[in-house]
Amino acid sequence: MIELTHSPIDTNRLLQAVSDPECGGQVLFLGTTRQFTQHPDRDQPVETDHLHYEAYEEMAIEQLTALELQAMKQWPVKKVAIVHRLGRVDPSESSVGVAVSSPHRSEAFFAAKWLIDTLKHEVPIWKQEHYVQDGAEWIHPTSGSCHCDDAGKKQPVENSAIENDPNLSNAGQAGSKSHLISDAKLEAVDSSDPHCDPQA
Amino acid sequence: MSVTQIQVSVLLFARAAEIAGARQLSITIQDGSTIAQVADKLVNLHPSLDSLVGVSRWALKNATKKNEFVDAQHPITDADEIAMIPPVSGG
Repeated sequence: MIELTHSPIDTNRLLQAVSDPECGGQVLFLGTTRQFTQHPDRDQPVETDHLHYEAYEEMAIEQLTALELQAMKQWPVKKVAIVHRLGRVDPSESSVGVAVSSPHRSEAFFAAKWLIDTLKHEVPIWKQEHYVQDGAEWIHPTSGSCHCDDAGKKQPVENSAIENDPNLSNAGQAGSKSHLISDAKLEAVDSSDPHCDPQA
Repeated sequence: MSVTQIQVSVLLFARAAEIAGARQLSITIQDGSTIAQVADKLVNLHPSLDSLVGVSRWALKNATKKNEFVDAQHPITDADEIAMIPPVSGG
């Protein structure tokens, strides 16, 4: 299911669209409007009143459909649903929803991340930030300013907290470390995506 | 030898549409021109588009081809519809 809509995103519909008896995992990502955002030309975060989205609609639909097919080719995912809002979106409302189902959870997580990262770099949709204080501005990001790999750049410092927490470390058992290593490898593969500058 | 002129349509979005005050411009240009030459014409018409033109991508559509990204050296033909795609910010 691929849609551009002027209405609020119905998450139940998204999840229903990817429901599949062969799937043991569904991942739903929602991109939501932040109230405060860092502005490149200002010291303090600016407060957003609302966002306004526009798209080259026919091309956006074609590209989202191509991304859906590509994700299903790249991972054993069964179904993909992507909905993007157009027009006004208020703080804490969702501007985009990506849902993926797969027989096992790992592929659904990876496909969903790839889909939202690639959407943000490739699909002809633009946002205009309307600020509480003054004015409005179309956002045209400069290369290298993306956040696709933010989490991958950070060492999982929380692990020590997990290991020191008797409840969590017992649950993790000996397997937890090897999981972290394999996750890091997968993340490294993912960050080689040519759309993203891993140094950004 | 006479030079054939062709007409193409350029779609503008977001900040580019705001600068030009239009979502679509019709541009007459010499047959055999490239996207880059259309871009130059755009900047001549609206000099404030210059910096955005420099970072934009271009998509082309015509009777035989669906929208697809093409590079600046791509030749254009009569009745092509060209979309100027400034850096996107969906999501």
